[in-house]
Parts: sequence; C-alpha cells; structure tokens
Amino acid sequence: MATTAHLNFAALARISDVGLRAHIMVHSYFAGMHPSPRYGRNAEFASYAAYRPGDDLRDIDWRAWARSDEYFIKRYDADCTLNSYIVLDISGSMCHAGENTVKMCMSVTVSAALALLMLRQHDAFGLLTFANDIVCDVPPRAHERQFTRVLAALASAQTGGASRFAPLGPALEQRLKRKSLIVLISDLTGDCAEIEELFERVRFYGHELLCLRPLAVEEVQFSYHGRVVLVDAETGERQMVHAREVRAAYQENLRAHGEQLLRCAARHAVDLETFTAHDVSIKPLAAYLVKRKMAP
Amino acid sequence: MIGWLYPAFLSALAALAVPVILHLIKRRPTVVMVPSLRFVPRGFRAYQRRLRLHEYLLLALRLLLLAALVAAFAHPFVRTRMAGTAWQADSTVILLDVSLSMQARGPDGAAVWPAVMRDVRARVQALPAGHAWRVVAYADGVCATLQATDNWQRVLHEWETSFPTYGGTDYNAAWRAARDALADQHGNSHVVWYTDLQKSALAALAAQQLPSTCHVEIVPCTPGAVNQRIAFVDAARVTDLGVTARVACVVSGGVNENDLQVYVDDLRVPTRVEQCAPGMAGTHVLTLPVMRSGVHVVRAILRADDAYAADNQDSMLVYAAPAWRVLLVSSTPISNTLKAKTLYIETAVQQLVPGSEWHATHATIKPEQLAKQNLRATRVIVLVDVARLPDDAVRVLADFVRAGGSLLVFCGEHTDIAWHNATLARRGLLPAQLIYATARARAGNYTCIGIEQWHTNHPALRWCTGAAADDLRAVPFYRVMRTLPATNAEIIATFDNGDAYLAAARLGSGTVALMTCTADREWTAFPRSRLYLPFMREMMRWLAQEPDMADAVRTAQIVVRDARAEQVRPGIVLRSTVPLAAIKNVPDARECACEQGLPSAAQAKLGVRDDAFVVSTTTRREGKNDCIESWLIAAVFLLAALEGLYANAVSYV
Repeated sequence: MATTAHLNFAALARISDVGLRAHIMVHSYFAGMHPSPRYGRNAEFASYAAYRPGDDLRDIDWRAWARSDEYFIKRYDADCTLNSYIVLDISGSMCHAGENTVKMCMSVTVSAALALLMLRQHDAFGLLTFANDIVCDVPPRAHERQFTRVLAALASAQTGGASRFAPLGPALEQRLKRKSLIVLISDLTGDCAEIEELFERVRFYGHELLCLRPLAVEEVQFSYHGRVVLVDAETGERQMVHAREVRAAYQENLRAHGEQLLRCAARHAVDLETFTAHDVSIKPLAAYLVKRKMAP
Repeated sequence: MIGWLYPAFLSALAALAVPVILHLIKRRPTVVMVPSLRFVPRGFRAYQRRLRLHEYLLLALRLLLLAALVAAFAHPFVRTRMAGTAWQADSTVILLDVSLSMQARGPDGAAVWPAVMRDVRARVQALPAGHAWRVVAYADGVCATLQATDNWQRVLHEWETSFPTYGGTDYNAAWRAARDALADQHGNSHVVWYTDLQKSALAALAAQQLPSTCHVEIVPCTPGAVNQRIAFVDAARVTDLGVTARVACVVSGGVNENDLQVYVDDLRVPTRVEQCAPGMAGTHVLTLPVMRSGVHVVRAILRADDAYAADNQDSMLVYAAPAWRVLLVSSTPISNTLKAKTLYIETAVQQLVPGSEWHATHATIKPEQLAKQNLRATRVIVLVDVARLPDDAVRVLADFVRAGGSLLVFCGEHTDIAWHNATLARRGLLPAQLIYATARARAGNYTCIGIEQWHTNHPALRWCTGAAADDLRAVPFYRVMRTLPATNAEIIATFDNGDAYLAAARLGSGTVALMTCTADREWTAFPRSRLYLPFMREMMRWLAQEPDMADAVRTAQIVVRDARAEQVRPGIVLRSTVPLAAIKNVPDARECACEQGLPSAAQAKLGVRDDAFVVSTTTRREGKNDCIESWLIAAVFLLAALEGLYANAVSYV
C-alpha cells in the first residue's frame, strides 16, 4: 500500500545523484510497509476449484474434503520473471522547467525508481531513450549491474529534438522477442496518430504498455502573468501572447489533447497515467505495480 | 479665439511626458519555454501586432486624459474679441452712478463726484461729431437720460449740483437702460460705466445680455468710500454683563436685521437693528458687550454675504474700560450745593457730555461715613478741607492707599494742622508736614502769589503748554498752607515764593497728594479758571492710574483693516494698498482682460489711486464658456473611464 505522505520532489530534485533519488523515492513509497513476521508458503494461494478428472491428486485439499465431502483443488500463483523496458522520451519538450522542477529531472528520477523496483522484483529491465530517433539502448537484463548501466544511461541523457513515435514501434518490435512490459515515459506532445500507431503496434505483439505522462504544474495551470513570449521547446518557434487571454484556450486545448490520448489508450488497453511534481512519488510507482501484477 | 483664464495651469502639460516615458521604459515581456505551441490558440498568433496597436491607443488615451484635465484647470474660453485692441465704437453709452455713495470723499478729503463729472464732460466732448451717445444717470432706477441732441453741457452742469441723490444702486436698471439704448444701434458700441462699485455691481453685469459688438469699460470711482460707516463710539459703561460700548452705525441704504453684522475683535456680537426705509440713510445705535477692558476693534459689515462686502465695512478702535469713582470727603457738606466746598471739584469730575470719553463718577460723604463698604469702585479719595477723621476712617484710608488707591488732600480753613501732622503725616498719608496758613491777601494785591514752576512732563500737567501755561501762571492764590515736604515727596508744582502747591508721594501701591490750597474759590481763583476742569480731570486720571491712551490710540479712531479672503469671492483680488474699498473684480474673468491703471488723463482728473483699473470686457459668452468647461470636465471623466476600461480590457501593465 502506498503511503499517503507525498515526497517533496522539489527538494528531491536538488540531489544530483539519480540513484540516490531513486532509492529515496522507492523507500518513501514503501515506507510503513514491512514483511510479515509469520512464515508461509512460497507460492501464493489463489483460489479453490472443483476437482475435475485429470487434475493432480496432490492439489486436492483433503481438509476441505473432510469438511464438505467434496473434492476441491487449491490453485496457486505461479512465480515468473518479467521482461520490462523503460522507454524514456528525451525530446526538447521534456526539458520544460517549472518554478522548482524540471520535467526531465522528474522523468529520469521516475525511470531510475522504476529500474530499482524492477531490480528488487528480479525482473529483467532495460532502458531505451528516444527523441527524433532512438538515442540510447540498454537491453533488458536481470542482475545488479544492470541498474548501474541504466543509471549511467539516464545521467548521460541530453534533451533535444522533437519527439517522434513512428520509429519507436519497429525498434521495440525488433528488440523484444517475448511479451514484455513497456513503460513509456513521455509528455506525449507529438502527433496523436503516431502515438496511436505505436500503441496499436505494441499491443499487437502482445506487450503490456504503461504510459507515464509527466507534466509541469505551470504547464497545466499556465500560471504566467502579463505579456509573455512563448518559445516552443522542440521547434524554437516564438509567440508573444498575453497570459490571461490565452490561458483558458490553452488549458482547453491541453485538456482536449489529454482526453484524446486517454481515448486512444483505452482503445488499445494501454494504461495512461499523468503525473506532476505534486504526485510524482506516488502515481508512477503505483501504476507500475498495478500493471506489474497484471503483466504476463 | 481660445483664451485661458488660468494659463499658469498650462505648465502642467509637462506631465504629458510621464506616460510617454513610462511607455518607453515599460517592462519587457517574460520569455517562457513551453513544450509545444500547438496548444496555443491559432487566433492569438497576431496578438503581438494587436498589442502594439493597443499600446499606442492606450498611450494616446492617457495623453488625451491629461491634456483635458490640464485644460479644464486652465479654464479655456472663447474670446470673441481681443481685449486691449483698438476699438472703434459707432455709439457710446455712459452709465453714471448717482447713488448716495457717490458723495464719498477720498482719503485726502477730495470729493469724487465733481471729478467724475469733469471726466464725463471731457469724454463727451471728445466724442467725434455724429457719434451717437447717451448718458444714463441711475440710482435705484434710471434717474435721467442725456442724449446727443440735448444741450448736454447745461444738463451736465445741472447734474453736477443736483446729483448724487439719496438712494441705493440698482445696476440691473442701469444695464437695462444701456441695453435699450444699444438696441437700435448698429455697429460697434461702447459702454462706459462710472460707478463706485458698491454692492454686487459686476455680478449684475454678468446677469445682463448685451449685444455681441459691445465693449464695456468700467471706471471705478471709489477712493475708499463705504456705504456703511461707524459714526461714533460711546463711552464704555459697566453693566451687569460687564463692559459694554455703544456704537452708532450709519447706513446709507435700507438695512434689514440680518444685513448688518458687527464684530468686536473678530467675534460677531448679536445686534438688533431696526429696519429703516430702503434708500434712506439710517443711524443705528448698537450696544455691544465688550466684556473686558482695553482697546477693541469694532467692525461693522453691511451684507457680509455680498461678494463686495469688503467695500461695505468700517472699523473703529474702542477703548472700553469700567467706570471708576471719585469719593469726596467733606466735613461741611450742606444742603445748598452752591455753597459747598466740593462744588467746583464735583463739577470738574462729573460727566458733562453723555457719550464723552470721561466715564468717572463721584460721590460725597462725611468723614464718619468713610468705611470700607463705601469704597466700591473707588480709585481716588479726596479730603476736602477735612478737620480730622475718626481713627477707623484713618485705618481704612491707610489700607485703601496701600492697596493701590490714591488720596488727595485739600487744605483749608478747617484743617486741623496738628492732627494732620500727628496722624496722617505720621502714617505717610501726607507728603508734607503742614506748618501754617499764610495771611489772606486781596486780589490784585502784590502779596498774591501764583504758580511759578511745575513738572511739564507730569501726567497731570503736561497738557498745560503754550497759552494754557501763561493762564496758569496768572491764576492768583490768596492764601496757601505752608508745608515742609517729606524726604520721599515729589514737588510737582511750586509757587513763586518757593512754597509747594502740589506735592505727592508713594505709599504702598498707592499715591498720596497734597494741594496746599482749597478746592473751592475760598483761598484762590483757580476753580473759576477754565484750566481748573482739565487740571482736575487729568489729576484724577493720574491718581486713578488710568492708562494713558493718548499716544497709542484715540477712541473712535478709524482703523484700516484688510478685508479677509473669505469676504471676497474667488477671483476678486483685493488691493492691499487701498483700505477697504479697493476691488479688482470682473463678473466673469474669462470674459475680460484687466489693464492696470486708468488712462493718465482720467486718472489725473479723477484723482483716484494709482492702482485703479479699467476693465475691458467683451460680450458675455458665459453660457458658451461654461459649456466648454462642462464639456471638458465631462471629457475628463469620460476619458478616465475609458482609460480604466480599456487598460483593464487589454490588461496593460
């Protein structure tokens, strides 16, 4: 269960070490959770099922037979390893700087935290960064050194360029040979058609896709005042506006874009979670854990 | 043509630089990096161009607002004709004020009216042949009219003697007459207005409509005359409420109860004034509670709410003091006052003329009646040939003198020399020891003595100079009491034989004085002299320690007080060099231009002050000018509202 105590990401962002930030985020998320003092079975009990011929006699619950004079077999959750891929958008739009936080810093920290979580789950995890094209690729592995590799890749990530999702689908298809969990961390400001094509392609090959969409608070609220010159982080285009006049239209467009993304994700059974600096310590990890439980 | 009533306000146009500077140094816009401009509405792409337009519009609006505000303060007006420019008139109307106030004389005593008539005659004579002119004499109404066809020299000569007349001033009637006279005239016209500017003269001008081609020249004829004057100030008297003074105000016109306001030391006192007939001069005697002794300024204002109240006021100095008493003590008061020893001195100290400045009273008592309860308001006790006093009376007398009172002792037949020396002189109540009375000499005999020397600076005798001094030296004295003055005594007057006539000494806070002769004509002819009354009065005034006001103020002296600012309406400039009557005013200053100084010829003839003025005014355009001002004020409010709404709309910072 996630803790209700939110982590102050503005304070966390002052720590330059990505690994330390990830540790703090994961530990703060699991704060209050502790292992049970009682011993139990290795395999988690899942449910009862009526005995049918052909079932293994070892699975029959003789206690239940003694009580009800009927045969029931016990079902257990089988342990399995998960192949996970963290896909991080490092396009120019991700370098949006808010009052205290940078969107890219938030995304890198979430990526590192997810990597740490996957390491603790003994899952194989990798990292793929992209902007116009694939920039960096750390193939999934399930050992301790993989986390160090991922951290090094995250630390060396440089934002720039426009985010293009079209080449991302074939790249993932080429790299993932088995069903995997793909965690896409991007603000999804690109073309919706490309994004939907990516969703469709990933889901077509049976992968689970979790989209984490970081947004800056100023970006959501458009909390600027007076005359401002807006600069497109990806194209460098400039436009002078008056904040109060365009605020409502901007927020409406942003909300419509988010709804379009949600509809697109729902059509392809993709989980889409938007988070800001206020809930960065809870939402991404919770979404991952839920998705991890449903992952193949 | 646009003129400015207060052009100094136009210097505030420099404030227009403020919004321009703010526009130039305004804050630069903030640069913000956003993920994508795709969320910014397309319709705002041209915002920068529109914003620049908004800035210029807002700047222009603000400049316009400031300019309108400054213009409203500067009071623009439409000047139909430049004042001071040459004015060729085709017809002339001379309005001549013949009201009672035109009888006034200037500070130098010169009458105004003859000078006015000479100026009118010269002006008429200077008019070119064929020039249409008319002279209208007015007071309460139009009194007489003189036209070019009349024998104007004879008529003006008659007017010089028959006018001014009793009556007030009705300027409306005068201006109606001027308007009627100009009604059938074509071309430019000239109105010359001779008036002493009493009452709301120019306000009446503002209420009249004259042709647009009319040029008005006002010739003020008021070298300090006022409609209302304080005639006299009576002596102050002690009443139950304190000290009061009686003031008489002469009003040349009708006056209502509320018209006359009287102030004592700038405090208005309630007055009740009987209404007199309009147009008739009336005298109103007021009793003013002064409440304390001293010099007070009494100021009477007629119609204080009048814009020209400064011209209708007069001020006087009033010396108000409580009355005091001279107590005469005589051993032989008899019923026949003509034979009393106190007859002459009583006559000297009594108030002969009601309302005079001498406000001392007197009483005569016997020596045994000299007690403390009888000394109320008494400042001087006079022993008139008293033989001796009871012991209690001596003690009362000593306490009285030590407390500040004065004692004057007259010698005579009945004076007990031994008792005086043993009692009064020993207690210090006599400034000299009495020795003996000399033998009587007959009048005209060489043995008669006279006063030879006296202190010319002494308050009791310093009035006695010139012929009065010679008369005093000629007064014969048949008998005198020879004395031996005390060491602290001052010999004020001596006879020609060296004996003292008047000696005085201080005792405590009071003064004791000794006259070595009788108070009546038994030993001397002095009481029958014309010098006796002023001598005794000044003697009593000195003994009573009454402050000498001769050098400071004179009762009923007219004082000049500058009119206060609130007594003149805004726009009126009161000349401080001319007392009370100098008015520089125009009905609507925006319509007029004032030129300092009269034409030298007219000034010389009128004998008026140097800072008199001529008002040149164009036709009244008050309605239109008020309209301009109203529109400007409305524009200021409208622009301010527009600026607020527009700045709020574009959120310009």
